[in-house]
Amino acid sequence: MRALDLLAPLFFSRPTASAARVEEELVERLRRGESSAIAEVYDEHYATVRAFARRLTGDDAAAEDLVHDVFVSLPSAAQRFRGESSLKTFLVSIAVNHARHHLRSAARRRVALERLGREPLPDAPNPERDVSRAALARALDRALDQLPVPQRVAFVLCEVEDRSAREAAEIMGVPEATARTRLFHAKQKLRALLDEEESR
Amino acid sequence: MKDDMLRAATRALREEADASQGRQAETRARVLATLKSRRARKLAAIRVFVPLAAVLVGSVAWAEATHRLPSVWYELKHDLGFGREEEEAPATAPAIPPAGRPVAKNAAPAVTGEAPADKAEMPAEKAAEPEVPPPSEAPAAPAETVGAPTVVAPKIVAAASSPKPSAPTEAAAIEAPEAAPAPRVDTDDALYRAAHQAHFVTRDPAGALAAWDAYLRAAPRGRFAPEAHYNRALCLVRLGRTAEAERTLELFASGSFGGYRKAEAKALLDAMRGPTP
Repeated sequence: MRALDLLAPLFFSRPTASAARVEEELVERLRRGESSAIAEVYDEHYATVRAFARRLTGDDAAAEDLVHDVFVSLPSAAQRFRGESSLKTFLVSIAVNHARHHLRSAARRRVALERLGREPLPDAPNPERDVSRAALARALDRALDQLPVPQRVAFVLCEVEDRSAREAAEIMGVPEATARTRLFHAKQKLRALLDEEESR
Repeated sequence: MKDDMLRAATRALREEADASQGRQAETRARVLATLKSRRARKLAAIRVFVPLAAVLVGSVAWAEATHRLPSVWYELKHDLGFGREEEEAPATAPAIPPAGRPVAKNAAPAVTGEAPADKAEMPAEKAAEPEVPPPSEAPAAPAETVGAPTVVAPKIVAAASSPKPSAPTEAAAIEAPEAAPAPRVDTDDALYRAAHQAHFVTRDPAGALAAWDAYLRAAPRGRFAPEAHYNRALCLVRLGRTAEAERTLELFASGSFGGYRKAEAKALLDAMRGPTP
């Protein structure tokens, strides 16, 4: 038992400490605005940020634009990074802060596409299932467009991304109770909106 | 039922998002290009603004060290059109020029205790009058170096020393330097000499006022412009035009001409306004 206590730091703590040190160094380079550091963070976290952006906006182009804005603003945002959360969480919180404008443009694009009747057809092996899935996703996107941004963010973080209320609160920079309240109201409104759409 | 639908829609949204293809390389290139152009813009701004700031700071320091800051500030204010309302109201009065370098030989006389309480008679003003000799006597005056047009000078003396100068005489006095731009310095000196004569020798306030106006019109930024303004204010006091005199004296008292005649102007203003209750 004693030997295990002595050996445990060698196997567990060291990698964690070194990972934290690596991240600290990376953040320091980000603060200096080093392009190589930004490229490094981009390669590591693009998938996470892009997935969140796509789920939040429901639009490919808006998601890419949001990702672009997140990484472009990273050197200045890194100045206020205190290391209380992981870099991944911090990047998602930057995306939340920049989302408002992109959500508006994504909603406008959706409305315009629907007005023109141009709905992209999925080219998949099971087209029927994909069409119904796409229709459902679009219905939810339309309903999400009618929510206030904080409620939309809370819903995407907790329900679509399966994050805990604590994590969502950390990303949004609000108390956990506020995050829960936002999620509750968001779900209530979405149910009503989906029901309304179904009855139409 | 509603819950099921919301759950199904959420799942559909997640799957749709996961199925969509990201443009990782394209966005990466876009991010790096944006950062590069931002950095280039920042560098360009630094290259432009740092020298500008250095020049500005250097100029201000130089102006402060040579005691020219108040006059430069006044000039800037005047050129930008601020503080024009502070200037003299009469249309005949010239625009107040920027205060030049306060002339060293105009050492301020002691005014303490000399300022009178009576508005009509101002013994202090005599003490505060700048006793500047005419420019021909001043060592700095380049009167002899430039060919002096002897025709102009007597005309000015006549205009300045006459008790009630007529408009055509004044006009002639103004036109003279315009007609002959080359001996301008000499013309200004002649005008100054005439005004000095009317003010200190003949002691004719009306004539001196006209002569100072003529000098200021001819050389609004001249070497003796601050003195001309101050003496003009004294003439106005003597003529009983206290409101106009006060406006000019306030400029001196507030430091618009640097430290030149500041104390005297303050004392004179106090004397004109009488004891405060």
